[in-house]
Amino acid sequence: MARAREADAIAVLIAAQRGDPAAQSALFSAHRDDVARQIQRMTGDASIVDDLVQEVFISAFSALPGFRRDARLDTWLYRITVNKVRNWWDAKRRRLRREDRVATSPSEPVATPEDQATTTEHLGRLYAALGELPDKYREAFTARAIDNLSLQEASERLGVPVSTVSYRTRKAEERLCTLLGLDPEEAR
Amino acid sequence: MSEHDFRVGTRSTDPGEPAVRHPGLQALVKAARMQQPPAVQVRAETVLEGWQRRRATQRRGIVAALAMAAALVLVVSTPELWKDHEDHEVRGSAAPIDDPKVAVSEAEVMDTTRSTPPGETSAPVEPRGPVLATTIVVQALAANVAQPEILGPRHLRLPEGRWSIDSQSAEPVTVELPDGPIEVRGGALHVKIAGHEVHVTVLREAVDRVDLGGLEVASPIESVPTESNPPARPASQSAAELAREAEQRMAAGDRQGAIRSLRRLVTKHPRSAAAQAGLIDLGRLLKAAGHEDEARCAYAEFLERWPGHALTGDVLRAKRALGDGPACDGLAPKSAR
Repeated sequence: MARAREADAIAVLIAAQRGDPAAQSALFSAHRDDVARQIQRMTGDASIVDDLVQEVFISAFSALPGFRRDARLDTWLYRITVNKVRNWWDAKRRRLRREDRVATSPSEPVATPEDQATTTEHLGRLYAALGELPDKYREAFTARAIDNLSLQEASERLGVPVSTVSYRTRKAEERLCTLLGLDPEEAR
Repeated sequence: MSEHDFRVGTRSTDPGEPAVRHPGLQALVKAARMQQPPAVQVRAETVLEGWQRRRATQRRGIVAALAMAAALVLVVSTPELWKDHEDHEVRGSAAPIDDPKVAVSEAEVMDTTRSTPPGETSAPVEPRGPVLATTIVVQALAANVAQPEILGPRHLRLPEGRWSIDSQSAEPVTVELPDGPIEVRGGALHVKIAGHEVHVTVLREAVDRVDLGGLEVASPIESVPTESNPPARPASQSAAELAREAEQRMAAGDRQGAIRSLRRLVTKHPRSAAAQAGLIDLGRLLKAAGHEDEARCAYAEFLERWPGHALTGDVLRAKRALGDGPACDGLAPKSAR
């Protein structure tokens, strides 16, 4: 049964690689929600998910004929997503640099007693600090901490050795603590 | 210890090591993990349409490159034409472009690095230096002294003279100018360089000065109306088009123009993703222009439209920093009576 499903998936992939719109639609439907979730976790911004999902799949369909079927499609899509999100962070940083920054201090508390407001404030602080990290550190941290991937999974998805993922995640945590006004010693 | 040290394995990695150790950071990460799954609206049909459009654009670029290559082959294989150009000795990247119509493209860079004498068309032409991507066309608009220096597929340096640059790709192209680099993303522009003076005229779409610290632009960048950039914008401009127009005006230092574009964006496309950044931009620009009450209203509008947004805290702080003021009716402050 599982083998039959796998054969179906491969048949859909081959058809999509040939440019069959029905197969491309099927691929999109199968992976859309995963990609959307990854984008939201990487950016913390639900409002840009639709735009980036679209960009990811347009790029994916453009590159699909060159996709080697010995690789995993979800890993391949993850890397495209990482690149698109990296561009988004670049654009966001450029925009903020050009303007007076709205954020005066990322660790400044906001008097919002509701749980929802606290969660929103947490998200705002975390993603503002994540935006200050170098791309590679942010991507490793997001994969490990927010996507909750194991070292091995993050290594496969990001295409770097396990030890590099570990190093980048650790450095990211150190910098985040500094940016958020947390004592880095408590992380040791 | 460097990243490289880890890669070569000078420290063993515990496969079960926690991703986050700091308790304070763990609380923030928990909030990120618990984000509600996004409600994705985009449909397969939209993506496929977008893909078809991109493919058509790429094909047009390839056809243009092939046409240029064919024209080049024709020129190379016609010895009479070479006689007319004997004084234009081929000197690698320093070869002059005297013909305003000559485009610097992949095909031409290959030609300027050729080692065979003109007329010997049977020898293969091999590229030696970096090659400009075929989606980028650089033309000399006058009899310039030197040729652009190709630093990479999307990176070039312009010498003194008058130049036209047209990029059909959304990928950024970095153009080094005497007063600093600019980035072109699917845009077209004319550049005039005389000594250290640079004048950039944006003909189409996105051109951005790299590392722009504020709204000041070292060399004048202006937008001129062309067929693809008409002065009178149609009422049906999309959110993305309006956002791009605002960006372009901000890059050109045209604050009032950017404010007008952003107002149209957030009014005509109030629920679009671009309107979110647009309202924040609008608030900042209005504040910078001294219209603090209007800036406060822009921030208030953002908070009303997207109360749970990740930037809510930042926007709240920005609004508070403006102090108290009159109530707002949409984007406009209610006048005090």
